[in-house]
Amino acid sequence: MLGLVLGLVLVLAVFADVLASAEPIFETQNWTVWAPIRANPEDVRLDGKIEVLRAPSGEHVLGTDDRGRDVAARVIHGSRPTLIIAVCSAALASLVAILLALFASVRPWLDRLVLALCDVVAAVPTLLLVLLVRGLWGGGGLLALILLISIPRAAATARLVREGLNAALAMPYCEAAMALGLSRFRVLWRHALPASFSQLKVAAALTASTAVLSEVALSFLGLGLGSGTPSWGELMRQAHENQLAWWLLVPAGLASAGLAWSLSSQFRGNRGSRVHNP
Amino acid sequence: MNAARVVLVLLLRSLGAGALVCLISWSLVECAPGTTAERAAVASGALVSGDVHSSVELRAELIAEVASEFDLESTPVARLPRRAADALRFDFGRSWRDGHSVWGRIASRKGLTTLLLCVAALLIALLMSALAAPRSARRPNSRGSSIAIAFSALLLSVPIPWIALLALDTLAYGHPLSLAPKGGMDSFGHGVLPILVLASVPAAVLWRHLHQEMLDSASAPWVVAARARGLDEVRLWNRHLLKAALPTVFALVPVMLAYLLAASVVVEQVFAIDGLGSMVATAANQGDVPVLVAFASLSAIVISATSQSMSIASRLVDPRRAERA
Repeated sequence: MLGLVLGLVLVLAVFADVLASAEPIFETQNWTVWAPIRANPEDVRLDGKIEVLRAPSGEHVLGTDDRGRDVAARVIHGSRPTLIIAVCSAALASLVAILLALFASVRPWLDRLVLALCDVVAAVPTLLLVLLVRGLWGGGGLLALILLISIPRAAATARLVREGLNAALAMPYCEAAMALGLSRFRVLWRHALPASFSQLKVAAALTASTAVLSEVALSFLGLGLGSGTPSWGELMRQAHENQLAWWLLVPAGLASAGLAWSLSSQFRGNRGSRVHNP
Repeated sequence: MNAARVVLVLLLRSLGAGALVCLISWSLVECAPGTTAERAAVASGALVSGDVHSSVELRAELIAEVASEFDLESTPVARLPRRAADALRFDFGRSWRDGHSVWGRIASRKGLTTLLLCVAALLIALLMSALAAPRSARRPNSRGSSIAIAFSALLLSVPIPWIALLALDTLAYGHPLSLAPKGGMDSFGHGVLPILVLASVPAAVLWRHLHQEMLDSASAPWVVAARARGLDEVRLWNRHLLKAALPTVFALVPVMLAYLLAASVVVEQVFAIDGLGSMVATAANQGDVPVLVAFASLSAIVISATSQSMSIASRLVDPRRAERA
């Protein structure tokens, strides 16, 4: 069920231009194929008139927002930046965490230093960090958002990976590998790291889920990707500003909660550990 | 004497954490693209961002004027230690937006409102988790326990703006359930909904940790010994196993407080509460750096003080920790 939600959001993000577009998808001399939702997410007028805050109807399946834009089109196109932020943050946080954990495993004093640093950084909530750094630094776009969300999660993930590496290094097969003369780095990279992949997957899923929640909260506060970019958080802000219009509030909330839940639950099974640790 | 020393060390460490965060925050501002004086001029409204019509001389004149007004004329290297020292005296300068003293605005009412909201939410979350965890851990395979696990997972996946907006749409006066007033902080009743919304996620997190910790401790030798002596099951779970799991909760309290401070920014916006959170949201949108630095420093002081207090509390609850330390 949760995998289905994730798959659905993935399809929406990949085929957003085909699913919601005012222009024909395919056209020949005799016939034309239109998108299921015939509206662009940025279009404010339809047939010469602006329809602001219109409840769902045959013309607009999920109604229109306070600038007359089609909500269904914005929900579909809003899945793209959210998913990009979630996936990139998870990938970046995992990569940095692996590097930090490997670096920490080289010497005991490095281990203590990296751990102390990770403890401090991981204690800062992602939303607080992004809010403050964006306000202090000013500006920022998609890349800055991904970087800021990744930093505290990388610290939390590094702790997990480091625990996994230490546990694997204490196993007889790693000790045997070192006794055979393999370098410590090779043992870490080839033999210990794959053993900690299951923890890494869980942490990556949580990072992706945190990224979705942070992006929505920041867009709600007006600190997201900007008013031009469709965003679920922006729809929630519009609902708040317009007497809690349910057609703005419900689809955006369901989409973000569904995506965050499916992402955080996706890799909690033991499928991954069976592959890396038969 | 010993207690006074502990409190003094706690205060000094917390103030040090605040000054350090102030220093890091201002360093970040100084490293940002463009000059700090230029950003102050844009934030104060003296200069329009991306304005190409004003002459270079006029822009320079406006920037110099704002720089002298907000003490930004000296070099960043000279300014940074002064800022950190000022933070130790709770002097965070004046707001770039309206020129008012930042600490004056926080100390008037806003800071207390947000602190009250966060502390009340934390206490309610602790109470809810402490009441629910012994029941769910006693019967881990029951339907109630499975529902609680699914519900907590759901709470952790729902964006905080949506929880707040749904609460406003269903529980506030004039809406279907009509349980509490809508917004503001005029009376205690007005705080009910924001506090419940803020407490929802920490309650789910604390409950999950307490539940797991109690399950892990349930097979410990001292529990078997207590059962063998005929200790009542309810008393065993509600008193002894809960107490054994408390240090885990104490370790989570500072993290939860940090989360609450961040979530209060969103919740205060939704419930139209004139607190520190809404002040920070406005400052972040307007680039009012002194307000943001003050928020970061005060958060660091509060979180650091809480973290040290919790570590003392966990040693009091479990004396073995004091021996290990």
